[in-house]
Parts: sequence; C-alpha cells; structure tokens
Amino acid sequence: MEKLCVKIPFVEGSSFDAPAILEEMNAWIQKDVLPGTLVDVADYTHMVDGPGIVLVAYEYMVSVDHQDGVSGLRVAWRLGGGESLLSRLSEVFKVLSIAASRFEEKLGLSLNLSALEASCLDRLHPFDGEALRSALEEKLGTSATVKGEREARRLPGIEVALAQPLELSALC
Amino acid sequence: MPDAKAWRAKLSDQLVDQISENIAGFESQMELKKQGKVSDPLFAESRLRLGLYGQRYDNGHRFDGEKTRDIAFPNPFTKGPETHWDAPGMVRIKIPKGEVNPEQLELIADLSEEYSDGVNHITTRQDIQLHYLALQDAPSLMLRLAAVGITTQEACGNSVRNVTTNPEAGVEAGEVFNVDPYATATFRFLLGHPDTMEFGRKFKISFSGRDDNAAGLTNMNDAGLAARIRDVDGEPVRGFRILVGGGLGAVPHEAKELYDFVPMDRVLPVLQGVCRVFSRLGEKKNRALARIKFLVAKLGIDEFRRLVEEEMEIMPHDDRWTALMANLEETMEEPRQEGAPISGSDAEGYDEWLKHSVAPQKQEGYHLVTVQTPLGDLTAAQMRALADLASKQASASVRFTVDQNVMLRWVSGADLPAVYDVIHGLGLGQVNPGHIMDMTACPGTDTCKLGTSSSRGLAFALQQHLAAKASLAPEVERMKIKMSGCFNSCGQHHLADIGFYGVARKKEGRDVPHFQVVLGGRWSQHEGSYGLPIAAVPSKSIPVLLDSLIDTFVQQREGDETFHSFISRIGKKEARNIVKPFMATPEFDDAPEYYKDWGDARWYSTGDKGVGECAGEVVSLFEFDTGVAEREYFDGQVAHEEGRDEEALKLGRQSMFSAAKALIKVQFKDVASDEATVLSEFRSRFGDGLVSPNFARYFYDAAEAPRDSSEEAARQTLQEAHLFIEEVLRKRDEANAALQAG
Repeated sequence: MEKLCVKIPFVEGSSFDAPAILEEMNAWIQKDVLPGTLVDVADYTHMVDGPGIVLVAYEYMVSVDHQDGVSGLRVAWRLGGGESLLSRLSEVFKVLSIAASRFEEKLGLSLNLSALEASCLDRLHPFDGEALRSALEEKLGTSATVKGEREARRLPGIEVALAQPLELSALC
Repeated sequence: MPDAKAWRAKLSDQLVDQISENIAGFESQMELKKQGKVSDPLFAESRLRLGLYGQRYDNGHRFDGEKTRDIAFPNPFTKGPETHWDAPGMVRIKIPKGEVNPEQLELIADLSEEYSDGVNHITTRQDIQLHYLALQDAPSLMLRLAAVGITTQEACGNSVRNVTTNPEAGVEAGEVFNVDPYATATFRFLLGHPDTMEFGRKFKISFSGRDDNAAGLTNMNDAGLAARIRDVDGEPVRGFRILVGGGLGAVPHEAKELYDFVPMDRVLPVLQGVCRVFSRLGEKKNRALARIKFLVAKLGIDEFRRLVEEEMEIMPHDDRWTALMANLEETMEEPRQEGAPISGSDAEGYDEWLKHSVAPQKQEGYHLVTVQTPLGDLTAAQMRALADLASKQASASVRFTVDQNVMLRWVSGADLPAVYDVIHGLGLGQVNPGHIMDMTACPGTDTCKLGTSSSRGLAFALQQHLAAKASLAPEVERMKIKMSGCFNSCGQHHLADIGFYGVARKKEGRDVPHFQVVLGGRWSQHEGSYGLPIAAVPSKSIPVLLDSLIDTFVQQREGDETFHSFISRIGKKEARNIVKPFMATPEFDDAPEYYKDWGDARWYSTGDKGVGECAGEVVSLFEFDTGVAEREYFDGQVAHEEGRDEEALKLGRQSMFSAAKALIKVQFKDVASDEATVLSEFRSRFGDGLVSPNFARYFYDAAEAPRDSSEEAARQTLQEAHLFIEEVLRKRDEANAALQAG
C-alpha cells in the first residue's frame, strides 16, 4: 500500500534549465515548501533519459524525470503514512500540486494535465491495475482510460488519459 | 507480513540456507538495535560488512545554502555513531570480477527502481552501488540478491572487499592465462573467513592475467596477483607473482613483491597468511595508518614475508586450499552466436565506434565491446537492454570495468551493427571509451560523507567544456582525467594524466571549493604510476586550467611524448608555473559563482562533511561472536513467544555454544567449530575457575543433557543461555589476562 509513484508529463517541447531547477528545488528545502522530511537534491542531468533532478525526502522523491522517453514531474512515495490507496494518492497529489505550481510560477514549466502514469514501486505487492484506475477516477473526479499495454519488465502500473484535465490545486 | 518475510517465503527455493540465515541474523540485530541492546559501533560495523553504508547528511544536519538545518527524521534510533536510522543510505553490491549475468542485471535494475532512485552506479572496483536506500528495505533487497547468487557481504567495512580482475580475462591476446577461475576461488575462500574478521581497515585484492613489469591493477592493491608460468622439471606450472602493500589514498604506495612465483596450491595459504599478519599486527587505533601498506612499509617486505611464513606454519590445514584451486578449467563462456568477420553498417558513427569501442578477442571472429557510461551511471531501462544484448548477442554475461564502463564479450563480428544500434539507441557510448572525456569520478559530495568538493559535478562540467570544442589533438584525446571528492582517491586521481581531488580553501571568511591538481600519473589496463600533486585551484577555474594544460602540452610536446612523459620531462616546478595563474580566488563581489560548487545551487560549505564510514570502527572478533550469541538468544525468545519451543530450545543451546566459542577465541583463535571441540576447549580453559561453576554448568547441561522440547525446557534453556552469555561478556578481559600470564 505504501509504494506508489505518479508521473505527469510536462507539455511537449518544454525546455529544462538544470541550474534553475536545482536552485528552485534547493529553495523548497530552505523554505519548507513541501511536506515531509526533506533531505537533499540529486542531479542526474548527465544521464540520457535518466531521473533528471531529484529532491530526496525521507518519505518520497520528487523529480523532473526523463525516463522512458517522457519528461514529467514524478513523485515516488516510499515510506510512511497513508492507510489506503486513496489516502496515499492524496499525499502524492499534494506534493505534485505544490511542485507543479512552483515550477509553473518560477520557471514557466507547465504540465500536460490530461494524462498521467501511476505505478507501484513494489513488485511483491503490486496494485491491481483496475483498482488503481478506479481509485484515480475517484480521487481526480474524472474518468481515466488506460492507454495501451505496459512492457512486462517495467514497474507494474498503468498509463491513463483523463477525460477532464486535472486541476491540481483542487487536489491539495 | 513484513516484506522480508514475504520475500523469504517467495524465494525459499532459490536461497542458500546459510545466506538466508545471515540475513535473518541481521534482521534480528536490527530489532535488538532498536531495543538498545546492540552498541552503535557494533551495529555500524555489522551493517557495513553487509555493504550498507552511510550517506551524506545521515548525521541529521545539512547546510541549505544559508544555514545548517536539522533534518527531523521520524525515528529516534541510530544505526551507527551519530547516524540516524531513517537517513537514506547506500548499498554496495559486490560483483566479483565485475561479472553479472542477464538475470542478475535485471534484478539489480528492479531493485534500483523499487528501493533507490533508479540509478545503478558502477564503482571503480567493479561493484554496483544504489543510493538513498531505507534501512528497513535492506533485508528484502539482500534476500532478492541472494536468490540470484549475489551477496553484499563484506562489500564495505574492515573486510576483504571485492576481488577485481581485468575485464578481458580469458579473451585477451597476450595474457599468460585466464585468471577468472582463480579470482573466483579467492573470493569464495576469503568471504567470511575467520582470519579476516579483525582487520583494522579494508583489504583489496586484484588479479591480472598479464605479467608486465608494472601491472597497474596489481601494484596499487593491498594484494595483487599477476599470472605467471614457471617451468618445473620441464613442465609448465601455473602460479602467481604476489605483491602486497600497494594502495592509493592520501599516501600512495607501490606494492612490494612478496613472492616472485607461488604455485596454485599455495596461493590461498599465502593469502590467508597475509590476512593473519595484517589482522595480528596491522594498526587498529589510527585509521589513517591502518592499511596494510603502512604495515609492510614499517616492517619491510622481508620481515613481512617471514611473518607470513610463520603464520603458515601454525595455521590449521584447510582442504579448501587445494580443493578450490584444483581442476579449474578455463572459463569457457558460451557465445550466443557463431564467430564471424565484422559486418559493415551505414549507420552514422558506426565506423568511429568500431575503431574506439570494439577490440578483437584472441578467439577469431569474436569481439569485446566497451559501452561507455556517463559517470558510471545506468538507468534500469539501460540495464535491461544490456541484459538483452548479453543474452542474445554476447556471452550471457557482462563485465563492469574499473573505469566505470560495461564490457560485452564474445560478440560476433556479424552482430556488431545490431549491437551498435542498441547501444546508440540507449544514449550510451556518447563518448569513446578511453577518450579524454571518458572520465572517472567517485561520488564525492553528491552522496559521500567525506566528500569535500563535487567530483561528479566537475567531471560533467569538464565533459561539457571539452565537447564544446571543435576538435582535440589525437594526443590529447588519449589522455586520462580522473577525480576524487577528497584525498582518499576513490576516483583514482593519482593514476591519471590529469587528476584532481577535492580540497577547500577560505577567502575572506567564506569557504571556496577547490581541487588539488595532480599531474603526470599513468594508467593503462596493465600499467600504472602515480602523478605529482602540484597546487590547489578553485573548482570554477579548472576548465580554463585544463585548456592551458592541454595547449601547453600540444605546443611543447617533443616527438611522440605522452602527457605523462611531458610532465616527467618538465618537472614539478615548471608544471606549477602552468598552474599558478589559475590559483587565485576572485573577490566574492566580482565572481560569486566561485563560491558555489559544480552542480550545486547552495553557497559552498565544508560543514556538511561527516565522519567517514569507509573504514568502519574496529570491532573485535569477541564482540562479533558474542553479537551472534545474543542474536541467537533473541531469535530463541521470539520462537518461544510464538510457541515454537523446539526451535527456541535449539537456539538457546546454540547461543551458549556461540558465546563459549567467543571466549575460547580470545585465547585460541583457530578453534574448530564443531560442538565437541568447543565443549572440550571450554572445559580445559575455563571450566576450572574462570567462569563461575554455576554458569558453566548451564552450558554443560545444555550441551550434554538433551532436553525435551517442552515449553518449560525451552524457557529454562533460554534463561540459562541469557545468564551464560552475560557471564561470558564479563569474563573477556580475565580470559585475555590469563592468556598473557601464560
């Protein structure tokens, strides 16, 4: 139940200024912008299609991620809190919402809020895809349609198209 | 069900009992630590010996660019001195010879996604490191690795670290013979060996299949073994030239020749003898002087050899000395495809790639392919794609190299175009292997507690700086740049044409990141010599300094001179003249960027440095052994509480044997492990007075008078075990004094 990851793509054609993102994420630690126990910022911009720039907290990691050929804002929840899938989704979307709003405001980086990927960081207890999809619908208040088959070796999860674009601020 | 328990159940068919028990023992120790029943140094060293390393900020403090903040980790426990339980840590996965098969590659990729940040980092000792691991995930991770035949045991701590070889072993033209199976035998023999448990520092071993005079891999290690064949009675006999006492670090030492030739059946006893001398006489208190190189230097190689031979005389015979080294056939990896001449391709960059990344094997039609990685980092997707390549188009294994790249072996010439397409598609191999931009860097301030300056940040900055140039002279392209975040030389800066290690300087009260410049070292697969430290330069001036070094070399080079020869010719004084114009730090108001490190948004500070765990604390064998007894007693209590009385009784009894053996080993290190010997040695040494008769009686009763497995018998045995262990813990110093008294 604990290990959930959600990634929302940035709008196509976004450009990423690594020093500015590093500075912004470091400011989140300085000013306690995000909830949880914030530890450090890691820079993997030297990797092609890698995890990009990652803010590491005890409970989760939030990153400007470029893996699987998609650049997106990714929150990977690892530890603590949340007794149900819905409550865990709430925590994940809270972090996503704050991070997205800061990136939009400070760096002009926007998300494509009509799609997202949700996966489980635990191959021992993977979420049932349908349960995850319907939990997303309940949490987001819009219908979510699963897109395509997922390559078997990737983390178990689903990619969905949303009928209505997300309003992240409403999910805090 | 907790994750580790569930993984153990799921993987039970694939787990070797002993390894599973070791991991279960660590889980118990984690519980005991939370209860305050294990000391910080003992838990830290146990953790380190399982490859679980601390990471920067695990002391709970981080400089955020303006002030040092406390990190409010949720739990109050610690996992070592001043080390928070909840702080993310690193796990080093031991990969002997750097060799992994596709199943192992895929599993490590999975682990990096589930427990880490998705980055698989290749180290300069052919290991893999994952960062930001939560300690509570460690048992699951270790069980999953064990199920595919990988251990993290003794990947860190004061232990025998990963055994390395040259990655071309077995396929390289010109090698004396394939050292692979002998490196494997050495790894197996020394893993968990009792004679390696009381080192004052780590111990690194490297094998080379070449017998060159300056074998770089072997003369910079604590023990180096270079393949050699000697004619004995007209027959060629395989063996090794054995070197000891080499090492980099702050004070580099070239290894000394212990023996010019040791036949195979004596190699393991010699290494065991070396370990025993190091264990017995190596420095234990001052960690800066505790590597074996200092002991060899202090004693001299002749006296060291005499002591090794003295140990070999008294060591109990071990059948594995010959069993592990006997009948070792050449490792014949099975190529997936028929060998064939190289096929051409129209793909852009293919011919250039062939020239720099592909080398012929001694086996006709087959090739080595080196895949250059960015600073040793691979994503999970890249690891899986490499696993696919190895399965279909290589030899069902890949090798991680000491310069942080990946090597595919046994690639048919006909498959090279397809292999190129895959590697190119993965975004790997963007730099040619061996090119000046194929740099080596340790983790530095990114994650290491000891890091002073950002070695990875500098490496990335220099790569971008050089990539922006229209072209580089061929003699420059061949140069090597290596860097470390501190003087400890994990990035092997001493061996580079141009090396850097992190230092800090102050300017008007502000910390400024610097790198010490080391020039003229030498590195090739089989050769190495150390460079000259010249001067410290601000980090942000290093790119322009590099330009100056390169330009001066190109302009003043004589004939075919290498950079190493150039620096040797001009000498340290002239080299310093090249560096001198770049040593000054500008005023803060003129160039504030000098007061930040590469890839870091914060104002630079040295306040984030912590106490390194590289060496661990020296924990005595007695503490380890009694730690085992206490874990067994704890597991017995758990079994008793859960109604498993037979198991509880067994564990209670076992814990008394472990405690008894710990006390015997204070006086007699080589005591055998069988129960009859432990009982008889205990009786003869302590049964008559040292250990109180009441407590001794508990042990004798448990050992000699079997009890039924009732609840009452289990409870009684556990109570007696507890009292006996406590008595043993009290008697250690007296046992030692009795030994000294004769």
